[in-house]
Amino acid sequence: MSYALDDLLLARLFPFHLVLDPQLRIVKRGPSLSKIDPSLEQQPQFSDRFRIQTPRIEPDFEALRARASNRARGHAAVAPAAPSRAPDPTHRRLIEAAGKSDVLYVLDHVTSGLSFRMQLLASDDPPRLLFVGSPLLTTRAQLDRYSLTLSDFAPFDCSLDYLLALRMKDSLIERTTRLTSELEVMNHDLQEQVEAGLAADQAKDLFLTTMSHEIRTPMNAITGLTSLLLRMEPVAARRHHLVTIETAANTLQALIDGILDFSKVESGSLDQNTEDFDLHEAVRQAVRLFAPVARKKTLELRLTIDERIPRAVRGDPALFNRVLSNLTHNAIKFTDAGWVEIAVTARSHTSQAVMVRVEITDTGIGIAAADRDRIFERFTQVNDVRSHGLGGSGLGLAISRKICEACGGRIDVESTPGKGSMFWFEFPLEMRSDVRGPAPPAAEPPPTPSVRDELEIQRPVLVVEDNTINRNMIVDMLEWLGVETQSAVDGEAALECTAHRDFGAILMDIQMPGMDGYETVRKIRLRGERNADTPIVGLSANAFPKDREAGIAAGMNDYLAKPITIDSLVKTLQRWHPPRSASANSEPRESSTTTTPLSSEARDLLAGSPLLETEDDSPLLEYLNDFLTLAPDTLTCIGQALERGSFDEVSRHAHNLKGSSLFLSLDTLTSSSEQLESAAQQRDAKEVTALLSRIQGEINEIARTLELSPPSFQNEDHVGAR
Amino acid sequence: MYGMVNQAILEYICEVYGDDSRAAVLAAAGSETLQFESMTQYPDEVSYALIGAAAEFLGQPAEAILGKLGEYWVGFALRSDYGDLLRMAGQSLPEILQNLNQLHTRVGQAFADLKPPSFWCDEVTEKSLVLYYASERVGLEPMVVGLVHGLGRLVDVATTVTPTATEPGEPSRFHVLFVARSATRGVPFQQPAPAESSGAA
Repeated sequence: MSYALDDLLLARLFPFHLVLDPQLRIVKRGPSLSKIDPSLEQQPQFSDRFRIQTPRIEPDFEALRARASNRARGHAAVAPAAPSRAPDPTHRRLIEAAGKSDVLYVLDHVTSGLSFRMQLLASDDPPRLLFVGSPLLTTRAQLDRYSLTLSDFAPFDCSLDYLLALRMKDSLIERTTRLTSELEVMNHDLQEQVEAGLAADQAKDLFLTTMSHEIRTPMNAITGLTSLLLRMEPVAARRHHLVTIETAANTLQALIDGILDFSKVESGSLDQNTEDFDLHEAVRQAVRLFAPVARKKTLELRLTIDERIPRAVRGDPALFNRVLSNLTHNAIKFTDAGWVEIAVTARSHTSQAVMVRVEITDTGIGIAAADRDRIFERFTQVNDVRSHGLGGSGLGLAISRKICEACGGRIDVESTPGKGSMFWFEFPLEMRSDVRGPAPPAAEPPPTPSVRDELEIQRPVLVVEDNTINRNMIVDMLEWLGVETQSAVDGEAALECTAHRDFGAILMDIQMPGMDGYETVRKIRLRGERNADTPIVGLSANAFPKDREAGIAAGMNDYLAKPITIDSLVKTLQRWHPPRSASANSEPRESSTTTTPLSSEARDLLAGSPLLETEDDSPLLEYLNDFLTLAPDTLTCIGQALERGSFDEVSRHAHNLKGSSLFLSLDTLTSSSEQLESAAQQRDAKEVTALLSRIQGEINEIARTLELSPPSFQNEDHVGAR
Repeated sequence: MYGMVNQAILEYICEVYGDDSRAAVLAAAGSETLQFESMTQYPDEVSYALIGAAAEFLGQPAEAILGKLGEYWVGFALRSDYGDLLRMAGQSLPEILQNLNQLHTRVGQAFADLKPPSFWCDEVTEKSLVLYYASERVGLEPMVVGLVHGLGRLVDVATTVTPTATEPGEPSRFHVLFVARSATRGVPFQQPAPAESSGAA
């Protein structure tokens, strides 16, 4: 089968073709080629206009025709000449490849610089060579230079598609580069925002710390002096004002405590103190505190507790109480008439755990739907609250939610504006068969004059405080309590005082100009002379746990957060100087030791204790008795903390044990406690377990040596059981 | 239709009527998509809804909007990745119109399932031709009129495009007259100036 192509059809199919005669003159050319080089119309010599770049050969008519003919014969060779014998497929592919190797010719056009990808064909009659193909395009500028259009290319020619692909590639690169650059800018902006956020967070922390200190310091004076004046039988009018001052100060203190609590919750350092408690009693106590306020507003305060809920539970009663009190407080605050009802039920319970659900319903102002999601956010007060002139920090609900979430519970509200709200929370608690632990903390009982008799310190107390008002106030309080005092205005003065006089206790302010409280205590302890073992109580307006820990680490025995009241002062000092009257009035112990003199073996054991120097062994024996009574509980707590993997807690208990041992000059036990503290810090459970057993043995040995009743380690499983 | 069409619709509205019109038209069209991706296919209804919303927003017939859009489309396409192909479509209006199918075919390699319209010319003279147009999509003939005006501007000729009656089912037919705008013959491959009236349709 053969086809004849006339010039017109050839031009349409191959707009870039060339026809050469035997003298290698370009006798015909395609229209698009003429557009690039109009001089081709003058039938120039092929070699004047083109060079053969591929293959590297010189143009020769016969040689080129032979190449084209060979290729043609190559194809003929694979024709089915012998039908009886099919050609071997491999052989056929080799022949085809050989033939095709002569197909591609790349011609360089001399004047335009364009290259053409061509195919060579030959005809015998008349003898002609025919190059057909298209330009090798790499840029659009090449098209523009010769004004080539779509019409200059055969429809099947893919040169333009390649150009289009190139353009799209460039465009994609450009877009990617632009987006990358935009992303970099955005990243930079985001980084700045993050840094700004961090700076704001740090500023907040700083603000809280500063505010805590700045507010607590004057408050210390207000509450302290007020509590002192209230005990000085002021005239009625003054008393009225003083009561008002104390109420206001307490309110302010609650506000600050709220902010500090929130800071703790936010930083994830919320302390959870799990203990057994009576759930029914805890709820009643908490609600009872609000009865006077409700009565004042003529609100009916109702409480219902589903009796099927077990009384004996285990959890953190303080946190439970905090949420319940927050919600009850709010309900009363935002209700002007009607009632507030607290209903306690169990949403679910098993033999081990109960999910307590508490619903606090009121007939108050209610909350708009749009505000319901926001009220649990920090620092948020809805418009109704502000417009009613009802203040507050806006932290109560945020704290409550954080507490619930931290304990594995949840909290929410349903409300109708103008009709009332129903806040509810669910709080998981463990079940217990009986109640052993204390009830949740209720309001501190009002101070009574009897507190005056509850502190007996044989030696003077040194008050180290740079703030004159605070110093005088503490001195006044102590003197009112019948305690002899001496005061020092800074660390240097304190070192001087403690070098020359023995004190029963030292109250040490932490933040002082020059030598601070930590440094002063370290020096007193390291000096190892007078007062090396005197109980030292750190005083600070900073109420964060880390401040307490820093004080203990510096060598302090205890820590008292400002503002200081007579009650808190007495309670703290009593830990180090228990009143004899209290001891006498307490439950009779299994063995009375107060009249029994110490044996020589006991005196050897306690050698070095300053208390041995006194004529009467009774105080020392009382302390030892107290120590031995409390020791099992301490070891139990350590064992439980170890089971929970709370090495920090183990370390704190060990530190306390060390302090007590040191105070009583129980050297062996002091050493073991120190090792225990170290093992806990290194999170070495095995070593902690071993030391617990050793310490238990040492305590038993102390009891035996002192001829005191052996301590009762009630929960043996928790001691050295791992 | 590909997002490029919707982009052109919104860009035209923004350019002529301000940025605020964009959001208004998108809202009126009930479009959940606020940014169209040129290489992504969207249902034809989205494009029709945008045209309808633009017509309502601008208080003009949809046909008028389509006409303007057709004219705007030429400049929009020139700025796109496929502008090179349009620039190569030809140096005269008949050449460009006769190369539209080749242009669409080559573009179609990048746009899968493009479904472009078909164009062909007949009775071509130095000053007139008959243009045939066929498409799967209905109602876009006014856009063809605008498109021819835009392409005429590309080669600096003023155009008059008159749709002529055809039987139902037959391709649409337009009678196109064109004349050089200035003595200096065309400035091919240049982007046209912003849209202005370019002859009666």
